[in-house]
Amino acid sequence: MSGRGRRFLIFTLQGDRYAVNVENLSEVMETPATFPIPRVSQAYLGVMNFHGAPIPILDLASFLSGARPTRSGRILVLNHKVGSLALRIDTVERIVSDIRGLEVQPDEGPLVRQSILFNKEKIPLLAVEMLMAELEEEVRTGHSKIRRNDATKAELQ
Amino acid sequence: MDMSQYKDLFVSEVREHLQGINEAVVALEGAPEDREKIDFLFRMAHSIKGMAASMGYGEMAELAHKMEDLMDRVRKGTIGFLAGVADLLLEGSDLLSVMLNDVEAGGNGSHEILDLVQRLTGYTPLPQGESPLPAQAPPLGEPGLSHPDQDKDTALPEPRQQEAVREKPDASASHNVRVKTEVLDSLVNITGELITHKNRMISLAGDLHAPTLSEAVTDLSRLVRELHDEVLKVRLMPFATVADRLPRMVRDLAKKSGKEVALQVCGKELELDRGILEGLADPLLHILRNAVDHGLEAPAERIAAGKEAVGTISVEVCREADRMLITITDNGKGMDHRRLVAAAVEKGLIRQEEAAVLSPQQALMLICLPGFSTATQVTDVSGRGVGMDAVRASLQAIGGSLGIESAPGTGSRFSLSLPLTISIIQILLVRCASLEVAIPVTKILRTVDLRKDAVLTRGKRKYFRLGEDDIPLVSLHRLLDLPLSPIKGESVPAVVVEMKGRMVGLVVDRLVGQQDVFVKPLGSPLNRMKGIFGGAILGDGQVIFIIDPANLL
Repeated sequence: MSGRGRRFLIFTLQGDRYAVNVENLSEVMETPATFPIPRVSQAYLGVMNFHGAPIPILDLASFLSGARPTRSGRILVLNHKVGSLALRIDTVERIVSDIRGLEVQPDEGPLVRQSILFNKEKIPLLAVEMLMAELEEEVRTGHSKIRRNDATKAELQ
Repeated sequence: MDMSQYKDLFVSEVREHLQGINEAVVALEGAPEDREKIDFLFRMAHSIKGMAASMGYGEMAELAHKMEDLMDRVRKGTIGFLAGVADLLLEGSDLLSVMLNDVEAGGNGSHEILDLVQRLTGYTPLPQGESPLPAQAPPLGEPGLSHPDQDKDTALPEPRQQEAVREKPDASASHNVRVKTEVLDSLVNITGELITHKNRMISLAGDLHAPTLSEAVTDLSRLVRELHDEVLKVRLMPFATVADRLPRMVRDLAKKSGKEVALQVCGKELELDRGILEGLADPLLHILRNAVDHGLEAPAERIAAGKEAVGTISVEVCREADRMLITITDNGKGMDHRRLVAAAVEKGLIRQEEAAVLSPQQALMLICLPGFSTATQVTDVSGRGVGMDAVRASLQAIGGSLGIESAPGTGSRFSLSLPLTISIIQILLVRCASLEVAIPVTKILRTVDLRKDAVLTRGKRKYFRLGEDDIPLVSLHRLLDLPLSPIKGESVPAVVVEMKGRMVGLVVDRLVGQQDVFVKPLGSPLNRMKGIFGGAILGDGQVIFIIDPANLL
């Protein structure tokens, strides 16, 4: 077992604090140039050229609340083992470790299974695997797209 | 002595030897007196025994030893190369393959071998006189002798290998080198990145209006192109990598279904990209399964129809420009296109009015619709698992296409058209609203620039005339969920592609141009997006998506 314990990055989103396990991240960066992605929801800012790989950027606030996406803030690039995705968040506050009296406890919420208790504050821990599963399902089914494509299929018949 | 450093080489060489055994056994079933093949089988078993013993894999060595002993009896003429011998050797080869997989995964290759060893040692021809194998066709099943894994023996092994042996047909062994496939993949990736950066330099040189720089970039482009061609050649592997496994597979399928099948394979020496070969294995397996199970008739039925008892399946490979064509032809009962249409209507897959306008060839393609199957019963050989819809989807995923011809009583022909490579492709860049997307040139039937008065309307549908055909026009904006934009200018650019088995004109805002791109696979979640083939980075750093028109709907 590593003596460093788990490390969490604490970030803000629309005034709320969230945490994400640092193991799930590969880089924190400014918002880069993006290019449009076809057939996805407006929560995606676009796709960026990340060291030669096409990586889509999802505005996490827009995805969670339906708010209009924005380019301000910071970009968290997920570890490629988790997925090919980057998240736009508002600000990065700090990195904390669970060897400093930090507690991880079960919790429930949208994309949340656990929280961390830090300085007596309960901070929801983003369940990255849940997020990826939801995004895959949305991309695969694309409900709003199906209606339009049904119309096109009818055109061909 | 630590032998682990030699493990990869051991696995690679034994796998080649086992493949050699499979091929030689099947060949001997057709020509049991072939002295060279008999000696070859003996040598292969002997070599495996020696290699396994030196690596410390005692059970593998023991099993190979008993196979060698059996072949020694054949070699000395004590017994003939009978059906029982063929089955025991193939069973031994299968078991050695299982043990080899265990070694590869880090195990010691240990497995229960006693039963097979006893049967190899105690083999005697059947009391009533087991007849030597007939020439031409593989024999029918022999009661009491079966493979340990009846499902596994019909599976086509992956062409992927730990090491690729680059061997030209006329090259001497001393000119071969073993290269890890990961190294080949890495070479292609680096070359692909070079192409991306070359495109970037061309773009920059154009912006800077620097003739000297442009000249240097032109020279660089030529060298990168040559490097690209050479690297792709290194990745090419002969079709034999897949085809050499087919005789054994067809033999086992024929035994299971009680049919007699002669398989002919032509063009094994032609080479395809390793990635294409990997993607080709499953569709080819399914088509062959169908050919044996549904295409060819049982011997009695064939004789009653005035045909030879032995059915024929031929697999032919040929190169046509930058495509590889693979045709699988059987002389079985064929398909009746009218019956296929009736079945599709009955299953609700198409409407009666759609059925009325289908050509015979379009009707045959109905078997590729999801949920379509005319098999009246599910058999152990085919009729379950992936269907022809999956075959077509698999081929499209590697940039290929499928054509079907068939006539009742005569047989069927499946034509597979494949690109030579999938990692670096030529695309046509098109603009739709704010988006530029790429369409692989191999997916494009033609491009048209229609005058506005050439766009005709029938009800709500727009179309144009191309020769004798009415080609429906569909907005690519709509397919890509982009806002529709009014047609500007005097003409309507469109890209004619195949969708749902018919030609369709995809209307775009502008045809931008063609170029080579290095295809970047998309990871999760975008890899779940239907109709998107991959991504690419252009010379100006722009990220674009490559669409697969056939799967956009």
